[in-house]
Amino acid sequence: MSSVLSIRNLTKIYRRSHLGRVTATMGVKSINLEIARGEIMGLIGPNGAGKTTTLKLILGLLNPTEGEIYLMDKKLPDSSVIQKVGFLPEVPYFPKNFSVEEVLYFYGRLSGIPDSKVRARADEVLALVRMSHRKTRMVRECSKGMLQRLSLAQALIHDPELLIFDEPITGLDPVGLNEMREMIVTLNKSGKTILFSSHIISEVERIAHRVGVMEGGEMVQTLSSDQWKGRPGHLEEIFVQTIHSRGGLAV
Amino acid sequence: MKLSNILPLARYTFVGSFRSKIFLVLILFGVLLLLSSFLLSILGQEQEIRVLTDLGLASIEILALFTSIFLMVNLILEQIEQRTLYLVLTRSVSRAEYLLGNYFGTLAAIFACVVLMTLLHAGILLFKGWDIRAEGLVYFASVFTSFEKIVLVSALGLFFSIFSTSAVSALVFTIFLWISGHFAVELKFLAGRLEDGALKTLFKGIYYLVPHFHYLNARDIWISYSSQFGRMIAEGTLYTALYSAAALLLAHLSFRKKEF
Ligand SMILES: Nc1ncnc2c1ncn2[C@@H]1O[C@H](COP(=O)(O)OP(=O)(O)OP(=O)(O)O)[C@@H](O)[C@H]1O
Ligand SMILES: [Mg+2]
Repeated sequence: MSSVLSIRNLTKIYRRSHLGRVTATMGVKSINLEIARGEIMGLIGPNGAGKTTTLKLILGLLNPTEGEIYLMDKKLPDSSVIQKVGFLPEVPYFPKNFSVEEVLYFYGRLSGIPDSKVRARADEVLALVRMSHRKTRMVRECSKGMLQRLSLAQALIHDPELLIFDEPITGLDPVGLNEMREMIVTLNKSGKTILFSSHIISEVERIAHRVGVMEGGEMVQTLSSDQWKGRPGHLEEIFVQTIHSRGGLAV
Repeated sequence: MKLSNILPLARYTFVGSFRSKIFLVLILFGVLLLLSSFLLSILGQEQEIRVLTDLGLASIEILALFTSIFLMVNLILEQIEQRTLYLVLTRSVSRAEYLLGNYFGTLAAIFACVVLMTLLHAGILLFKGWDIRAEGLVYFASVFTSFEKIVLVSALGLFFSIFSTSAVSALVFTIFLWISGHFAVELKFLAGRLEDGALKTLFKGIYYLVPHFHYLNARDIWISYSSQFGRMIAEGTLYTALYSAAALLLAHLSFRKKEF
């Protein structure tokens, strides 16, 4: 099985120095994780478990304190292979003085799509996330739902192989939730590998092939879907038990 | 380093800064200032064109300079705070490309602003009967060197904003260096008169650190060295390029390993 992402012994300690005093916070501790091509991998864990930290380390927004990350057999950071990753952040962040389509052209260009092709590609992804009729709207006039769709569109614009979604279903209404779930499944069927984090275990259970349980910066357990399939609510039980056995819900 | 990454970044920074209201207010303010200098000059009847030229050139420089300092110190910090840089840096855009794209995009916006103000100002002067054939060269050289000061001070602003991670302290540092730059000649003179020793070395060091704005005053250069005007303007341009490149390099060194 070819591994798309391989995380080895990854540790991140946040260091802050303020007026000469250094404070250190554990972000993640000795994480190991392999993700195979075509997999949907979910990361679950209480607040502060280290999910976002892990994703940011992969994306190069943070530098690891220790350990290595390999993406398609290239050691990160590597600016060429990162082109094969699409990222959906926890909250959509866009420059506000631009329209929806302008934002997409911009990210498309920065993802290596030539000027002559970027418009056609932007139209494609806008159709995919059902935003075609809103493409001339300014970002600052978009609703939260529209921003979420735009956020998804920018992650897909360059047709990446690996998608990294940080809490893609948090804060969506039932319709949006349903759409996002279907989107993840469809994208996966079209060959994309997906790594996402979430708090909503009942959803993770429906979508993911494998799940990593994080707590206190550690990867406590990895489970595969045959350990919970056909038993609704079982993943949640395992999760709660695991966290409790480690001394309760930490924040 | 890829131009195909720097150019779109620069273009979007350019467009974005034109669309931000602050910039429009400043352009409007510039127009008003130029118009009022036009009115003021009516008072000094004899030297009307002289006064109008001086006032106009000074306002263009100061206004564009403060706009650029303000934009530059906020440029990256704002994107860090609003996290808009996440979606840029997680693509195949290097940190250096990101900095340069933002820097040149903002400079291009300021440049467009300077060109607009200059056209307006020169138009008013011509209307007043200004002899462009006699005065034009020094006038446009003077706008050019004003822009060089902006290029240089902008690079400093960018560096300080990344280094100090606070817009206010970046503003203070940049303006402090900008002011000290006007005393570069005095610093050199002072260093020359001191006895050899720590103090002399200190003054000499500061002299080399502060921007040498005396290389970038086209009108003073014209008055004192008109025969070597072209060469001295070229030297000033080289100086600007080197100083700005050094400031950008420092900005890059403090940005390279930053985490978000
Ligand atoms: N920039 C930072 N500086 C210092 N500490 C941080 C920083 N970001 C995160 N941390 C700490 O690292 C730990 C892991 O945080 P992280 O954001 O990765 O958790 P998470 O699992 O994504 O949580 P949530 O579910 O709330 O999003 C927490 O203890 C957090 O306080
Ligand atoms: Mg998080």
